[in-house]
Amino acid sequence: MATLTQSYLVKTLPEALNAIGSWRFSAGQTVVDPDLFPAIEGVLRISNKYNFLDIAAAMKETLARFLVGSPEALFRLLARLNRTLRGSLSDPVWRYQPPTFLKFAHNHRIPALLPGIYYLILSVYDPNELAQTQEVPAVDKIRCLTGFPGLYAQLTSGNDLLKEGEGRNRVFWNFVSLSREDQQKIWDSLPGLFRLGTWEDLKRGVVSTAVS
Amino acid sequence: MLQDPVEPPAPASPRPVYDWSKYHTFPESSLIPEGPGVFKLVVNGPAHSSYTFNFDWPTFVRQSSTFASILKGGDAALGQFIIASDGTQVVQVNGDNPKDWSVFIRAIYTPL
Repeated sequence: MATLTQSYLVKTLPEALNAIGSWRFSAGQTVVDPDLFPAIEGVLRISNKYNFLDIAAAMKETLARFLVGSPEALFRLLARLNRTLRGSLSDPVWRYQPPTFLKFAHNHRIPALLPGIYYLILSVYDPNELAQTQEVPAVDKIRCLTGFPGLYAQLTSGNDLLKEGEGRNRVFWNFVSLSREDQQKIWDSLPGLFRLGTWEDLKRGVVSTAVS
Repeated sequence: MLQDPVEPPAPASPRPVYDWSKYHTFPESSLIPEGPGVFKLVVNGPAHSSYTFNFDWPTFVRQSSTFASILKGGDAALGQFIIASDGTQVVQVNGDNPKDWSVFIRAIYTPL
């Protein structure tokens, strides 16, 4: 008798989300378990179609907390990105990931993920490269680039040592070196800098249309 | 002799026959005990493959307004409640990927 299995099921969802970036799947060139997002999307499809409201809400809450919806999750991903890249400006495998997260957040209407994903995008693309890439939709690009100057200033404390074309995305990796208090301060400011509204709005599923 | 006109009994609609041996069963179905209050969900998969899952009524009625309606005989657009010839209570759904249901069973019956 045929059966279908998902390897991610050996872990709980938070464990699987926490593991993102901790290894590479060389064949698929990804830092995410290839079974993870199809499984999450499967649960969300069934939940949404048949109105399993509590299950859908619990999934979205877990995703928001453990994927990239908290300073701790952002710290974890940036620390792994930093360790993996080891001085190189960027990496196609890591570049691929934030746009994938972005598509997922849009498809399943989880706007609370957007500020963290935008921060990750600015961590893997210099603004000049971001402006040209086709991987990120235009409205998200505009929001990212709108937030760039304010974040860049916070992260460099006004000491701008890097010039255009020098991989200003690396400045965003400094998040991991900041104190918890400063990390939280930056985290709190993200929705406003990206013109997304407030954290409260995003958690309620509402996105500001100031940029749309 | 006059008799009251009595309408002849309507022939009972035949209950569908399911040959359960032809259905794939997901291992996750074992999370739900057999017995009263259990129904079978039938999902038609790709290439004419069909899958069954055992589910318990209380969980589905409590968690899903859509299934609450289906199990009362309504909401045929999304699923149809059927009593099979062997007495098995069945909900037949169409258009779903059996893999989605496989992971969904985990999500609903085990902690996330």
